[in-house]
Amino acid sequence: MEAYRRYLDGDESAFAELVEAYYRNLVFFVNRYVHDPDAAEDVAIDTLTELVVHPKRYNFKTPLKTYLFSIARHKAMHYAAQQSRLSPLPEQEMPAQEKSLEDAMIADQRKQALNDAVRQLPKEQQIVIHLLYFEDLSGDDAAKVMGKSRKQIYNLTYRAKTALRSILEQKGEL
Amino acid sequence: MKNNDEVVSEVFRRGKEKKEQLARRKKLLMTCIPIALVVCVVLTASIWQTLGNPSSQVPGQPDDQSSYLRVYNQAWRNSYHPAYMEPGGVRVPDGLILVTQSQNKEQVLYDNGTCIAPAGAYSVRYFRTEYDGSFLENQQTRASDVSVPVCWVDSAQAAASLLPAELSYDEEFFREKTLLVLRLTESSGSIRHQVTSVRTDGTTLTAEVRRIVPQVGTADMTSWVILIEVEKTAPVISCTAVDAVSMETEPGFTQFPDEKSTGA
Repeated sequence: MEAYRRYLDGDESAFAELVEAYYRNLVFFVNRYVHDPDAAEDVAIDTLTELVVHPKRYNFKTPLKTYLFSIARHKAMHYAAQQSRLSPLPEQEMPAQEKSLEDAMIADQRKQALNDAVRQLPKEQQIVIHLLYFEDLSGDDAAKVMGKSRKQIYNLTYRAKTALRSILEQKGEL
Repeated sequence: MKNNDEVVSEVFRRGKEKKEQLARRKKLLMTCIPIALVVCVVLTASIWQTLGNPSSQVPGQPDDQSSYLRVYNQAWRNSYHPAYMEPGGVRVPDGLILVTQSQNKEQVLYDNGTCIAPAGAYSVRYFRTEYDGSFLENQQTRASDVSVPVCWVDSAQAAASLLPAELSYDEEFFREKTLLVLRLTESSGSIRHQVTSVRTDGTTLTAEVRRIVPQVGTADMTSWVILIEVEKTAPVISCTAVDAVSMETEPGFTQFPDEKSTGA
């Protein structure tokens, strides 16, 4: 947030710090929706562009990460909807490129196993687990990003955890 | 995956493009808004004229008709007021009695041997009454055009029994003038009338009434009472009957024709 404040004060080099802090996480998050690393990068860049085009929209009351992930979610959903209209293909096995992206993001072996299990959850449960356990957002911030109430986030998390436990038990990870 | 420098430069490039795009949109909007406003004003004026703006229905009138037109228009505008539809009696709202300006009294016109009452030797009063107004019901004389009941009032006593008290016609009035009373019942309060001439052939005093039918009208049935005050010139005194003729106008007629004189 401080880096963004410095950027708004005229220090363009501060923007590089923002990219360093958020770009890869945004790509990883957006990829949950679009399942295409190239498209995820494009959407993430578009998200960061919003900070340049509409600098006055951010009010510095919520964490910048929450603000950015909210924008990213909307843009990713819009992109995914467009793609489903253009080429409504059935979901396939994860492409190698996508797999390598996730491997690069998650160095921890246990987290990688968890990520494989998360991929089998319904979309919204995937997102809530991602925000809470991969991005370390609070429940309130996750609710803001997803446009849901705190109670809905709690319910989603509970169902996701139950499903994850079942999946991991089947795989023998637990 | 792109490195951070590439991402930063890409973000700034896209940001610049989007800002330019937004500026172009804003400029376009600022150009379009005044045009849209002008179009709206023109359309509104057009609709207003189509729906029958009273002031646009009576252009080209002589100057000495202006007071008549102004009050007449006021009556037209007020015609939706419930006071005009008061049942059970004749009501003459304040400001609704309309008097035309007299024409040149010296002028006498002849038309195919018919002696026409001196143009302007009469004046006209219009007022609106309720649909079932019946003060002329038993007094009317059937005219050539049966849709226009006409009555000849030639004494203060008759006037007092037939007309509302507000119209106070006394003996002094009837020494110099006589009174033709017409009643026109119309399916719409938007239909208006104009007495275009009062003429005599020696035995019958005839009033001609032009109906002004706008393109669009209200759905309120109403009656108009027209009082024509005629000077007792020699041709008028010799008359023994009265008649009234209403000249139908085509639907959509929205203005008075440009005539030489409304009194002839």
